[in-house]
Parts: sequence; C-alpha cells; structure tokens
Amino acid sequence: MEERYEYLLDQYFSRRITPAEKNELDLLVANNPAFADVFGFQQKVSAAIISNERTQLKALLQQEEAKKNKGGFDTGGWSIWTKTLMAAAAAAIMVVAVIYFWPPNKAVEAPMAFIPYPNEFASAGGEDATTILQKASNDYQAGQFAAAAAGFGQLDKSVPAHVFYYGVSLVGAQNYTKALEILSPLVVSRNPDYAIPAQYYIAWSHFQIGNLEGAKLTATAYLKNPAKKGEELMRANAQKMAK
Amino acid sequence: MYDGFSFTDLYNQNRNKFMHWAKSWTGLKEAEVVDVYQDACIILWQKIQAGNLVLTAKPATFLFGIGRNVLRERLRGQKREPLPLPDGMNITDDDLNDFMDSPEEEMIRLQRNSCLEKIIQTLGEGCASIVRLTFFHDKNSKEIAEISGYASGDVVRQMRRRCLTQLRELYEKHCN
Repeated sequence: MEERYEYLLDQYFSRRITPAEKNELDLLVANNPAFADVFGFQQKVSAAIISNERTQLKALLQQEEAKKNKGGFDTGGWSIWTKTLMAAAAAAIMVVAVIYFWPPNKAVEAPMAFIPYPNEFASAGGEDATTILQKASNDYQAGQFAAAAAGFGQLDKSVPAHVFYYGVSLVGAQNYTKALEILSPLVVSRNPDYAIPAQYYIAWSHFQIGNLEGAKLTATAYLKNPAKKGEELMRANAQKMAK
Repeated sequence: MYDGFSFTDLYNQNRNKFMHWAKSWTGLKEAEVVDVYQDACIILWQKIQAGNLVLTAKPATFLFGIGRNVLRERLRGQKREPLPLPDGMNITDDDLNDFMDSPEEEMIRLQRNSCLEKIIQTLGEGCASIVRLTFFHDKNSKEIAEISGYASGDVVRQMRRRCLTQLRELYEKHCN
C-alpha cells in the first residue's frame, strides 16, 4: 500500500485527521476499491475491539448488579458502610462483609475476593525505589495494581516472574482481558512456579468477566495440581469457581 | 489506565445517586435506568482507558453528563425538556463531544461481528498490542513505537500491516 494511504489511515484511526485529509480519504474510498476494502476492514477491526471490550465491561457490571440483588455488597468506598448500616438487621450481610475485608491469613473462610500473589520481589522494593522493578514491587505491595502493572509491563518479558507479576497486577487492576492475554503463555510454558498460580488468576479473570464456563475449566485444572503452602485461599476460591 | 479508581469503584460510587436522579426525571423503570447507567460508565471508562482524555471535571460530573446524553437517545421521540444535572455538576454538550460516536461509527458498531472479535483474541501478544493501541487507544505509529520500544513508526507500520494481513486471512477463512 502506498505510504500516503497508510499515513491517512494512521491519522484517521488516531483521530488526528484534518478536514483536508478526511476529504482526501473520502475521495480515495469513493474511487479506489482496493483502498476502500482495506479501510472497511480496519473499521470492522476497530469496532470489534471496542465492542468486545464493551461486552466484557457490561458483563462485569451485570455481576455487580447481581451482587446487589442478592442482598450482597459492593466495593464502592463509603457506600458499603452506608448500606451495611442501613441493613444492620441483616446480620448475614455483616458477616460476609467482615470476611471480605479480613486479612487473608486470619480468614476462616475463603472470600470471593482478589488475592494478590505473595510478592517475590518484596526485597527489591523500599522507600528509595529507583528502578522500574523496585517501583513496581512497591506499587504491588501497596495494592496500587494499575501502577504495578505499568511497571512490570516494562520489564524483560523473557523472565517468567516479570510476566507473572505483570499479569497478576493486571488482574488486581481489573484489566481482565489484558491479564488473560499476558498470563496464558505462562501456562503453556509449564514452568510450575508460575504456570500453576497463573491458572488460578486466569480462572479468576474469566470469572470476573462473566465467562463462568472458562472459570470452571481453568479452576478445575488448577485444583488438579498439588496443594501448595500459602495458596489455601486461592484453592478455596478455585473450588467455588469450579462448582 | 487511570490509576485513581477501578471500574467497579466508578460504578458503585455513583450508582445510587444516578439511579435516583434518572428515575425521578424520566420515570423510566429501574432496569432501564440501570442499563443506561451501565452504558454511561462503559463509555466513560473506555475513554479513560484509552488514555486520551483530560478530565476537566470530576468523573461523576462526566458520568452524569454522558448518562444524560444516553437518556436523551433512549427517550428520543418523546418531547422532554433537557434533564437538569444535580447541584454542583456543570458540563456542556461541547465538553462531551469526545464521548459520542459519529453516526458513521455508530453504524459500524451496530453491525456487531462476534466472529471477528473471537479471531482478534487469538492474535499473539505483539500483534494484539499493536492492534489494540491503534484501534482502541487511538495511537499513531510513532506513538506506538515510543510506547512499545520499536525503532520507528515505520517498523510499527510494517508490523501492523503483517498483523492485519494475518487477521484478514483468518477472517476470510472463518467468518465469511
């Protein structure tokens, strides 16, 4: 394809196209069937990506609504406390809320909540973090998963640990689609240190976007591996997803 | 990715206020308002995620403004006054221009292509990243090169050409 054509497509899809360039593009579409075909396909790709994302986000919100309809609780800042106080008589809700916020090592029953994997880079962090790894590790430790994902995502992807923590951070940041994309190759790699826990986070991501069948399959696969110390809550959650 | 709050935070923190506001002004049923509110949240979140948005007001204000536009669309044909936003929320239609699809985009969007959606998910990480940065994050080749560490925009263009050719072949094979 001619360089000029690609430039126009670049401008169009990055939403920087000027009126004059848009006229040029419209003329090309009208008079050059080959270009019109390429442009049409790229529009379809753009629409498919956005539509796919919207479908997944919608499924996530429908899950939030389902929680509310079941008399559950949301995670939206102060509103949970308002709701909890208003429903003080509903002791069951209180119990669920307490379990939800209980530190993982004290919980008596596994909550259906995001469980960050123990940070193997914890010693790399610190208050004077300077490298990307140190900063990502600190962000991960602080529960700032979007920032942690941004950091881990910049590291060498040939190191499985970087990829794994990148994926887990994406899960923590609720970017489930991207998390699935990043974590899936780890499972294929069969590196047991990361392939097995990656299965758990893949199951969790499927569950969060409403793909219950995918969650069930992956959680079942995860549970077939020997139980590992420190993953008790993950296994308990996986058992719920595998049902 | 906006680091300040999660998608479900955005949804939950403003839901009750929006529901109350929208129901009292439109008389729509609960389920219809939930649907509108979800669409408004998704539109705002996608713009935030795309990384091209400068929030000139609080996210809640944008959310109500977008929700008002979505409600207008739903109530099209019914002659109603514009809905006044809750106190303290000021936003004009001009501020919301970036959130609305053009009629052309809307038409393409409506022709949903779930087969193509599935094929896109099978792309390898490199291709998926370039395609997503191009068509979701609205980045041009030069920007993608900077973000992803490629030598130049030309390299990105070459890679994207190969990825789209691969995608096209799969599309022709499985979706036509």
